Amino acid sequence: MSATLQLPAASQKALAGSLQKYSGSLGADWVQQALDRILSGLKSALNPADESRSDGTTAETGASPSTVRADVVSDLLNNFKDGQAIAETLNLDFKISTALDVAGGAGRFVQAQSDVDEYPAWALSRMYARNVPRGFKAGPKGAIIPVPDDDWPSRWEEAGNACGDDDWLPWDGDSQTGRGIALKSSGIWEQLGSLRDDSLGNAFPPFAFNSGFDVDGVPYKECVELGLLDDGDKPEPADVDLNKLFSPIA
Amino acid sequence: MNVTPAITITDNVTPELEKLIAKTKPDQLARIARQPLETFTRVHLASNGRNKKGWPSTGFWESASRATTATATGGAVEISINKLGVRQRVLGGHIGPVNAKALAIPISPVSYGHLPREFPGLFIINTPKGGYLVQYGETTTTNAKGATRTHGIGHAGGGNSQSRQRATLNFLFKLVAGVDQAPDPTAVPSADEFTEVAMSAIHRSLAS
Repeated sequence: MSATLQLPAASQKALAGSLQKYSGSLGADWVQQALDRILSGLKSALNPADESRSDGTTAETGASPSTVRADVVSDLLNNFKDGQAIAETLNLDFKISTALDVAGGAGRFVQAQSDVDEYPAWALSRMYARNVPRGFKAGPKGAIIPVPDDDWPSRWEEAGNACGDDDWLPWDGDSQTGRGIALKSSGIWEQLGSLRDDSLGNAFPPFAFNSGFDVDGVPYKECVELGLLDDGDKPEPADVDLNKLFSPIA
Repeated sequence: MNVTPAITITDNVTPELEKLIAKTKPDQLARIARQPLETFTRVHLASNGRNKKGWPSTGFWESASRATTATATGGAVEISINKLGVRQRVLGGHIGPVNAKALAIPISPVSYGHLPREFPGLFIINTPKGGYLVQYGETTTTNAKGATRTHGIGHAGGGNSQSRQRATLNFLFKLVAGVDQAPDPTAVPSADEFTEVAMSAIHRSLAS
């Protein structure tokens, strides 16, 4: 048995919005068909199943990012003369993988509210390596050029100042190996996922496109030592309406 | 004069013991171990190597890491990796065609991570080494102003994909009756590693 993952409403809307930009060139019907196929494929990819075969073996079944993309490319885009070029423009791989990543983050976000007594806070830090980390851009001859105020410590401070509570601590360390700690109930998480153009609209990671940063739980004792809680305080979970979080788009 | 000493005994031990006992109930231990086990599994999955040929990564293991959730339930922690293909890599086994006559194995960075049906105009070439799915390479045209433009078929890719796209024929997939994949139990943490992470989290919690 495995945990069921769902695609958050915000991701569904973002996907629909990004496809609707092509309504003029590809047609509204085409966009709707593509969206239906992608959403259906994502649902399958998020929850692989087991299938018993006639030879007595058991196989995994379900969609993968490749099959979700292939459904759209082979059935809907190859009818166009320049279908492959359109597929590249649509950047389907990126849209599909981002949606899957967000759904995984949503699943962990829900679970993280169940152990808020033990782990009242989250620490944001790097979990996945990136050739060009956020806060930098690729320059000529492989150079990595800093982009001021775009890294996670800058975003952390901006989100903290905008969130309206003091349940967060200043960034500790440098932009790549440091971490930002805040109670799970802090508004900083929602701000972190919404304050920039590349934000994904989540109060949980991934907070932005292609982000290699993620969160880990911070134990109660450490939260007290860091001054986020007083000993004996009862931590609160994040204020979230799960029905709203996962409600299907119309 | 009669002196009666009054002795008040304050029991500070029992409440502390009760707290400790509460912490050692299975469902509570599971809640303590859940988060560290989830993070440990995710970091382990993400540390698995890229494809052996050095082709552009499909991000399989990072995607598996991001598809991982841990749930504390009934005194146990259940870790789910909701990603097609992880079980196959861990346990290994035979993969055969289901709704086709053969499996198509990508043999080019252009086709790696893609399915044959994404490539229009594929055809089969049979060679002494077996069957291949092949696509014609790109063509070059020149307009009235003398500017040249290449029209590629297929997808951008790393490695030697550019020279492959310029080839007259692109060999994209090899057709095989099936493959037997060796198991790789190290793709996921071992039982001993899980135990160590859980016990470490529990010890930390009980000590606080």
